Amino acid sequence: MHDVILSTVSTLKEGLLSKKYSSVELTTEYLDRIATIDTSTNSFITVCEEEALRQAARADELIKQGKAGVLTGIPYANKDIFCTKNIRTTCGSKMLDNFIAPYNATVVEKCMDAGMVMLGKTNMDEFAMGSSNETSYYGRANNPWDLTRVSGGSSGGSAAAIAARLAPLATGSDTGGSIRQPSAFCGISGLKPTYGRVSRYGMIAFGSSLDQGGPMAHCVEDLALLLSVIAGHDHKDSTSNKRGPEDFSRHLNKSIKSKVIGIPKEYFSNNLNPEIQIIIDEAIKHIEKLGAKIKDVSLPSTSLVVPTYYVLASAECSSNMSRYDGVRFGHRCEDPNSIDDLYERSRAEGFGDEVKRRILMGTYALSSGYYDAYYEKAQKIRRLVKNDYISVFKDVDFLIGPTCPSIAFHAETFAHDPVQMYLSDVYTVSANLAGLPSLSLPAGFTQGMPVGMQITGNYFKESELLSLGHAYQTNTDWHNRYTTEKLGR
Amino acid sequence: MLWETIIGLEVHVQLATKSKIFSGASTSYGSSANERACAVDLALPGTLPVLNERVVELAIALGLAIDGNIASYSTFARKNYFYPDSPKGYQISQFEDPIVSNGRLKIVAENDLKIINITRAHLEEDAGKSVHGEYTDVTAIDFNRAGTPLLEIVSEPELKNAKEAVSYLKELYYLVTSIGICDGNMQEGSFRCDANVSIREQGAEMLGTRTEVKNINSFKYVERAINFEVVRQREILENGGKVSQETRLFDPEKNETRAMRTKEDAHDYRYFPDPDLPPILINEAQIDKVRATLPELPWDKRARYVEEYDLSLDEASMLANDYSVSNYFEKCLGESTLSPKFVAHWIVGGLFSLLNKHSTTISFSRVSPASLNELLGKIFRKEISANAGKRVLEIMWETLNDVDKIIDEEELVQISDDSVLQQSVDKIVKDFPQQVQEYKDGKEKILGFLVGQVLKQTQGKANPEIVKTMLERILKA
Amino acid sequence: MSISSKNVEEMARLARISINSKDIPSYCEQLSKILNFMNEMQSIDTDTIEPLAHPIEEINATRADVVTEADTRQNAHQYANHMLDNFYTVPQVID
Repeated sequence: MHDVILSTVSTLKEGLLSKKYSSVELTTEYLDRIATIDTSTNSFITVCEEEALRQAARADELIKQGKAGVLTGIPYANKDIFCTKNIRTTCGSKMLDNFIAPYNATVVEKCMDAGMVMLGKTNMDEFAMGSSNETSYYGRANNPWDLTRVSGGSSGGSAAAIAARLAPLATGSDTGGSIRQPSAFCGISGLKPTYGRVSRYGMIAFGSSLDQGGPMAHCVEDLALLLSVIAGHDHKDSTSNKRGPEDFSRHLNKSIKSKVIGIPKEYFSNNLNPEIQIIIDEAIKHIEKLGAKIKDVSLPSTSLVVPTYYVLASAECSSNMSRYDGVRFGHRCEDPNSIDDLYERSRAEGFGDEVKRRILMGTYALSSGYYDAYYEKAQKIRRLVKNDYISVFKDVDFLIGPTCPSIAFHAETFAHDPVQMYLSDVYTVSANLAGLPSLSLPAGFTQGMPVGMQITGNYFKESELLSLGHAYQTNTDWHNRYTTEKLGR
Repeated sequence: MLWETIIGLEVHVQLATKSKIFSGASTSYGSSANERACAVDLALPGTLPVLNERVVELAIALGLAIDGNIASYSTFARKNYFYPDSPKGYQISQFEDPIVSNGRLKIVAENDLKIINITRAHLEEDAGKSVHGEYTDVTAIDFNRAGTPLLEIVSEPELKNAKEAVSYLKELYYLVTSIGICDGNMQEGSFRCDANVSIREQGAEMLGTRTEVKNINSFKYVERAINFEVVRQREILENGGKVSQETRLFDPEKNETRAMRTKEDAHDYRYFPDPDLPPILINEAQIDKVRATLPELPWDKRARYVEEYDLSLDEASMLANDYSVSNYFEKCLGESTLSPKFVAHWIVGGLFSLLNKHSTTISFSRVSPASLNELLGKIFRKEISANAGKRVLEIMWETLNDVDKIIDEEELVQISDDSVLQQSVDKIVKDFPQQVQEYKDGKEKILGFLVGQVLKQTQGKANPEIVKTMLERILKA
Repeated sequence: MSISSKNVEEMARLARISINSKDIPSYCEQLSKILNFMNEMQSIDTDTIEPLAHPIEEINATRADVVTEADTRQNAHQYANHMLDNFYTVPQVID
């Protein structure tokens, strides 16, 4: 049974269909692993043993009746940013520590309809604000490759869970890199789809024009399977694209010969860590050998993307966080003596430091006298970023670079320097600003830690993106590496 | 010192849709607390707004009715502020690109036609309702109203006094109810007004400091509030003081305005485009579609009634302003050949008294246009007298019986038979020699008394015109 | 450019978050750093550029005027704070 955890989802699927094991047995295996290993990784906030086994039993019934879909009976985990009906949904925050959602996020609903088995809700930076999973009210998630290092954020719990083989699939969300960066730090594969591809209904909002939910797994093949379930138009989300669900596995094996890969020169400046540079260069050479053409390109707006992103994200978040006021749900302070006291203390108690900082900065960026210089300015630069991409995609099909400027750092490295932490998002934020799909894949190791390669595609070209990623993974082995040695199982 | 007053009005019109502007919860009035507040209305985590298409149609209708510009590209913005009845901590409204702009409304001010310009009309969502004082030490909040669609209509500050303000409000009220975008129920908060009032010396160029009196939901109160404000501001200025820019509330019991106690933080609403809602695009075809469904506007209808039907302006107003009254009136006209003036007279004179007496509105009239027409036909053909007609109308209302049955039972058939009438006339001439002599002596008015006596003697059934003619013939002989 | 304690107090007031006076200096410091970092945006001229509000310009997402939510109180007990007779309650607000 133990080998099961090293399999791809297709293999698991075959196992279920050929009755090698049942979904209940498979689910139990994962639940047992979580019970023993997760004390070290802290990747789950809530584990749903009873509910998972119930779902697994139901899945087994469907399989028996021959009514199974592609992912029926496959266990998975949901980032705790997705509302799950009747199950605690905390968003990594004390503010929602007691919040039982009365409905399912569309993403969750789709996974349920597909017969998937939810193991639990994974750890994350509070309200998705952070790049290390250290701002979580429930403690940080630890990187399975080195427990003294962070798993990345904000989808750190999902990344660590996949890396530690506590779940074969997980959902994450990405506003400035929150799927891709933890994927890179933990040596797994993660995709941020095109903005509007996956419904945001029920996915607790941080930066509404930047947020996008997406799949996380060991390999691209598995990402495609999960994306096929969760993507598609949702009438409950006005920003949801009209495109319906697609089968993203269909063209996975399509050849990448004659595809053109752009290498943005700004991503390979003198500041890039040389060890990472070497790994990415290798990966690019590999892709070239598979038949793709390589071209140097430029994204001039790169030097401004991080401050631009932080202004927009903080501004939107400052407004999105206003509903957490202690009035209707969520944390409420004791014995408020006036309405303002109720607001001010509930929010001061319920929110952590990073969230408060961003709310204050966002409020500043929108306030009268500053709106033009900050919020509107950032929106203008956002258009420049988008224009850069539109221009570059006239000549290339994909852009490749490192996902992060460093490997996973040790915990507390940026405890007193939020700006330094923000700067580490330099490669990931542009895809959110422009709304483009972007993938992170394991591309190598340095100092014993995984290094991720980021591939960004054109609007709604997830299929092509995944087939490039799949071609790379068919010819390399990084995504199959595993940390048993560190975790002991 | 001569002062002039400057008033601008912001009217919040609740749009008559079945569901809310951004959610699928119902907008119907009067359910128990929080029964119609769904997850989106309560701003639960992860919820998102989706625009109700009907709201756009109704806004277009208003835009056309006020001859305004309908934006082909319109955006939503977040207006950020904290108040317990505002669940998201921001209101979804419109800021930079309102759906309607540059309209106008004709009003009558001191018997003159005046045109008031309307700066803009924009879409937004209503907040919940706070209930103060019901429970000890707490304010209770009901979010049923949260998310109800509103169209905020903003006038230019061109109104000069309270009467003009009320005139404007009434015209706007008739307009929005006639074109069917609002149910007009002011008690239920369907039509609410904020008045911005300032005064300045006559001839001065600068505008004075203005105050805003919020949320007034009756025409009477608007008039009183504005009048109070003008006097209050004048007294301050005449005593050398300064008017503070503030928000005030009208207290109908004390008949005065007072400043709101909550500190208004310099209104920094931090407007920004709502990222959850894409812009609304409106094309000519959509506008044409709405235009085709627009009914005749009250102003035009009034003018038409005066011209085509020869009604007085007063009568025309009474019939045209309220669309349910004009519908009733036109239904009567449509189904009979009676003169409109005649029908109008009987609706305004007869039916309205009944509606008042029974404290109800024409939509609940127990006399339908068809039955009214039947009655009026008989009066017109002199089968019964006008007086008898009034009586029959009352009985129709009470019993719902048909006209013939009532006339029969009450024996109200008008006597037009000459021989019968002649008998009565002869009797009265004999019984009242003094009055007869007075008539012959030149007091022509006494004829009315004698006609009245004949009617009395015939229990009101005598045809008064014939009686009058007969009496005249005898007396003049 | 820096954030003063007055700025911090104003923002905290607008955002309804209470901040201990002893924490204000550290907020000033951290927020000033963040502001400086955000000010890098000013190095580029954007006068002729139109702001971009939505990354993908989806147009016209509307729904029909139909009531789709009934019995909205069903699950309130799971998450609702301080309800009294079906009302949400807060300390008395005086207008």
